[in-house]
Amino acid sequence: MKHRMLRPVIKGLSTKEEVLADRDRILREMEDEDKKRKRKGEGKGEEAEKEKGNEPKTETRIETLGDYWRIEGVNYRGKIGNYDLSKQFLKGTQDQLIAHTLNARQNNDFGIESIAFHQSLFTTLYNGRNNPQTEEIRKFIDDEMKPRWLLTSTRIRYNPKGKDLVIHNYNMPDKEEIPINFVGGDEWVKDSKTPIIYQSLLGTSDLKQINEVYQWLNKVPAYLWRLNSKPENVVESVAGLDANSNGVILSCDGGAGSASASLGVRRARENLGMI
Amino acid sequence: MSACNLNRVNGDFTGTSQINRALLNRYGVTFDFDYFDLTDGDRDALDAMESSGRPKLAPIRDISDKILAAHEKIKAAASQRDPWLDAYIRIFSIGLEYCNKDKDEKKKKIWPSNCDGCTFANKDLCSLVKQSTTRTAGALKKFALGIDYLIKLKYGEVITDPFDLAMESFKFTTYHGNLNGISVMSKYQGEDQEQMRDVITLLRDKITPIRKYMDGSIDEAVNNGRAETRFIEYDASKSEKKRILYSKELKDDLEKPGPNKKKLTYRVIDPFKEFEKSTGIDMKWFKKYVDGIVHSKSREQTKEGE
Repeated sequence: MKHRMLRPVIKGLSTKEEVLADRDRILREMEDEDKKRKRKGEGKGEEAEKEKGNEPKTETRIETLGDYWRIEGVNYRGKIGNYDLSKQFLKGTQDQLIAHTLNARQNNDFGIESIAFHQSLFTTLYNGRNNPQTEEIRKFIDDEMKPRWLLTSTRIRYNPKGKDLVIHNYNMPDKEEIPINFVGGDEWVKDSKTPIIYQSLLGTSDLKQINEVYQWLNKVPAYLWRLNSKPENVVESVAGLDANSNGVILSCDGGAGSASASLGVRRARENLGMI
Repeated sequence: MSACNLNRVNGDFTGTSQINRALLNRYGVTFDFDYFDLTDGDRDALDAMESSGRPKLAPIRDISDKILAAHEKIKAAASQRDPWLDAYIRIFSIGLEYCNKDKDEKKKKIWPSNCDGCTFANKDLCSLVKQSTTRTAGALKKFALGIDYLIKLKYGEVITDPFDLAMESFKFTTYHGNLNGISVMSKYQGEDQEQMRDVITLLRDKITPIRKYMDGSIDEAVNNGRAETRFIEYDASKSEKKRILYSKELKDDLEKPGPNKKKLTYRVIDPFKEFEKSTGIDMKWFKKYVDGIVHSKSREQTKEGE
């Protein structure tokens, strides 16, 4: 005799009819909003502002030089510099990549960089997005971020008491430590009520721009993962980046033992004297 | 059918011999009597009994044929596909195998000896319990269907949530070597039933948010023969997000602009990938699982057609 399968009552999902009714209602509400705005004379000004804001900047210069790209005009830690981005990803745990980088820097080879540097690099590329080579780099990074985490040299030290510590270039001579209360709920970056968190992590508190950069890089908005409450013991997490169809995760709760990929970066040779 | 009794807490009792762990592991269902106690109702019933000094026994009846018939029914039911119940049980057998720290993302022999030093932020569950073996997963299903059989025997044709059945079944089948033995001594003072209670609460809390997605995907596979694990999420209002199973047709509908040329903002989401990272429960198997339901449905339809 065939057994009658056990079926649950499905809750929490909409039906197609509900979705289409919502769509019609939301579009009607949008239209009403537009009409109101136009009546107030705001429509035209906003359109012009939007057009102005969307105008890509063109100062970024990118060159393809064999197995790397040279990206000029990266504004990192308040200094404009030129950097080389390898066309090969580095592989390993954060500790292994940092050890590799310490040697690599002596030989002007490619190494891992902080999450704040990544933000500076991505913003530079975003500003130069009209350059055809930028799209090549964008795709290169986006393709890697989807299947695996992009590790950075940043760690978050979550302390049971007192402030946490954002550590860029962990265990490296140019280490930078920023004390801050980092623990909190996961959140969409654009909705954050604490931009100062992003200042410590990414070197910028411009939430709109951060989100725009990832919307361009990975076609999805940015989302922050972190420890949601104070740990019982000190916890150190690696800051990494991961993209999926829902969002780019600025992951600040990953274990330090996980191996993954990282961008290979070095200061451009011409600039070495300026460091 | 066999049963064994084991007094693990008072390990220094003499006159009993230890049971080999491999043999013990073959007992799929565990009843823990640590908390067996007389209730007030029990006491009332005892007080109302005639005090003859001897127990008043019910007349002896042989119901072994009924038990065996019920067992056969349950066994037959367990051999058939039960898409929702099977999926929940697979969380216990495969989902709990996940280890964020291990390079293959699997709990191996060392588990849980290194969990204290693990920095995975969401290790509260994965450090507490590990996956049930294939053998135990079989017992889990039979036990869940057995509970359903008893409920129907007592209350008639009532519908019980298969997730509740799976959870209840898990509670009775997942003791030997599945719970973190270090934590049971250090945190629970050997009271593994308390640890199990925490595991059940945590599991329920963690699985509940993903259930709607699992249930929706399975429902679509069972009823419409379509394997899909992506969803569309949109803001129905400033404070409410709604979700629906993804379909190209619906996506095209949402892409149609309104009279002001604006479109509804929506996102296509894969909730299972994020679930894994935020809970420490592996869900990579789920896509293939749903594919499997669709394939077997289409095989069944082909057979029926022949």
